[in-house]
Amino acid sequence: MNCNEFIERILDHVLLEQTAADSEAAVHLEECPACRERLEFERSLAAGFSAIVSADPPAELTSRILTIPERLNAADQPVVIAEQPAVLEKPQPTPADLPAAQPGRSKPETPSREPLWWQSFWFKAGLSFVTAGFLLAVGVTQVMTTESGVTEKRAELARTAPATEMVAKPELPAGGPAVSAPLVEPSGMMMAAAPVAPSAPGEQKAQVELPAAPPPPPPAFRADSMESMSGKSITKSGPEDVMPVVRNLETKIETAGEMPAQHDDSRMQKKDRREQEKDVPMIVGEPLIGAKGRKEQKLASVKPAPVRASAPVPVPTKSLPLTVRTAEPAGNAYAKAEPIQEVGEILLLKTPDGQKRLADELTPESEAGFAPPPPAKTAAAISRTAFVEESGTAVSPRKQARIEEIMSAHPSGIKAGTLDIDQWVLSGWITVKERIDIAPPHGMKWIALKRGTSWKAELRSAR
Amino acid sequence: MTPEEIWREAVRGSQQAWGDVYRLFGGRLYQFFLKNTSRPAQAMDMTQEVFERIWRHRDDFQTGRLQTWLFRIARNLLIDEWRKRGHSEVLVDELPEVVDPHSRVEATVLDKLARNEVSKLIDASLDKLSESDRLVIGLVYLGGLSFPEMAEVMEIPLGTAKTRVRQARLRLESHMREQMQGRSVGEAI
Repeated sequence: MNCNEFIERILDHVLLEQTAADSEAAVHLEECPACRERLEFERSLAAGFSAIVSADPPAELTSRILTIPERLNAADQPVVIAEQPAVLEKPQPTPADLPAAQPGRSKPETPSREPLWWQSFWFKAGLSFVTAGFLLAVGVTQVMTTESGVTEKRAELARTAPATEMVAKPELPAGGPAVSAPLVEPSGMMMAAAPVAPSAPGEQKAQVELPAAPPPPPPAFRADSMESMSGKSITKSGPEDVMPVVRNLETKIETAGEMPAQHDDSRMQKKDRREQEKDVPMIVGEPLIGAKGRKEQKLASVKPAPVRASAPVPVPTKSLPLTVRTAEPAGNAYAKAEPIQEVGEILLLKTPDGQKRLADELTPESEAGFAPPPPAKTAAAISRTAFVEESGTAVSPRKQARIEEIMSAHPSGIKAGTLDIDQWVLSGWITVKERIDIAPPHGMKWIALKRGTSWKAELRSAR
Repeated sequence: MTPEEIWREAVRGSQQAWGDVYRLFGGRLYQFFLKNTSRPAQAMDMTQEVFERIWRHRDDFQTGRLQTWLFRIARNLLIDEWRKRGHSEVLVDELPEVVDPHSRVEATVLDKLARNEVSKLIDASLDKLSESDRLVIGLVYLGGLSFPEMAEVMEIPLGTAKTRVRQARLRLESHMREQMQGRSVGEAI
């Protein structure tokens, strides 16, 4: 042991006497008077520090610290109400022992630290549960009341409305406003919105006396709801006239189970509309439809042809009236085909053979002309649709949409290799720089798949 | 009975054990805070805070030495106090040598001094130390921590802890020598 090692060890006063008693250190001490002096100095210093530490701390500090467990346990202890059973009291062994072991140190608990019974956790929790349950019950009651009321109104109106309709018809004046209104099958919502027929005799009598006043002006709208029908019929007729017919009609409904067919004007209208549609010549709206092999020819002849729109002609179709514009060829080389008819945004052509076929009647070998052909898998197309996350995980829909947007905006800049999306995002929701790899991973290839109306790129095995 | 066993007794509810824990470490902690703050009231409050914290978190202490746990809390409290006062001294690992390591207080001189006078000399010298030096000296020589324990409390490597103690000791001895010389001059006059 040399001097440095010895001094380093005796600097740690915990090891001071242990080091001095060490045999190796004793040999060094016999040979080195400087280290002996140093050892004595360290002993004096340790004694001086020991004297400092051994000084008694203030008595106030002693009393404050010795009561810490008692005070803190009392603060943590839940309040026990005298009227409550002793089960709620949490057993605390520590404070029970403390006063007995050290008498006179028990510090009275400060009242402010004791939570009152309405501040306790269980009271608050219980109050919260009761409030929540009450609100839930009120809400459920409201919903149930509303539903039952609507159901009752519907049932009541379902009984009264058809009868009113039948009775009111012969009573209406010739120029009445509701004559032209078609009768509509009463639906639930309409019946719920219809006003309830007045039941008080006074009200009905007052309404019957109304004809002395000038007749109401005809409505500007097409009255097709049961509100106008039922209200006017009851006004013109009266409860005495209505009720026998209602009873008669209810009996009929009970026996037949449904309304007679001659009174169902809406069904008649539907039937007439179907017959009209049969009579109207059907315009074939699939110019690109045909057997395989003629598709490219039609595309070449139709697609670039500019058309000049003429006056629109209303044409009835299956469900909605469309506007057909007859277009004439502009006189260029592409427009030597037959005159083109355009319906809305859809370019229509008559088939060359004059055969009119609907899209639903296509044979399986036919192809839908509106769908664009799948993109040719050239290198550029592959690079446009080829992308993969660097981590190899699935691409999220948001990210894929953004990538497709970027690729469509910069088709020429896409090449195989690593691509930072953030390069092109000047403003958008992508805030972090994302890196994608355009080239497919090893053993994989990109294929284009149509999902709905958009094309998606998916990784598939190269095998 | 080790301090840790006494502590476990205190946690079980023994007030006697709690008093023993205080008697073991209360004086050291109080002196540690007193020498570092020079304010008795504040030293009392901080000592009380240490004991309150160990009682609140009594379930957290499972292994290790109780002394290390106590003085780690004390050190953190002291650093918090320094921060409140805008303490801006940077505790660096490598402190420059400012004192000649070969210059030391003559042991013979110290031998002539009574123990209480040595204590006063240490007190006066500690006041002249920087806060970081006082912290190190306080942990090792007032708190009674060994070098490894001090390194654990300070969360520094052992070698760094030894270097800090050595540097702090050199500065302490330098100040003690100045005190001794001033006292000798005063006595001579």
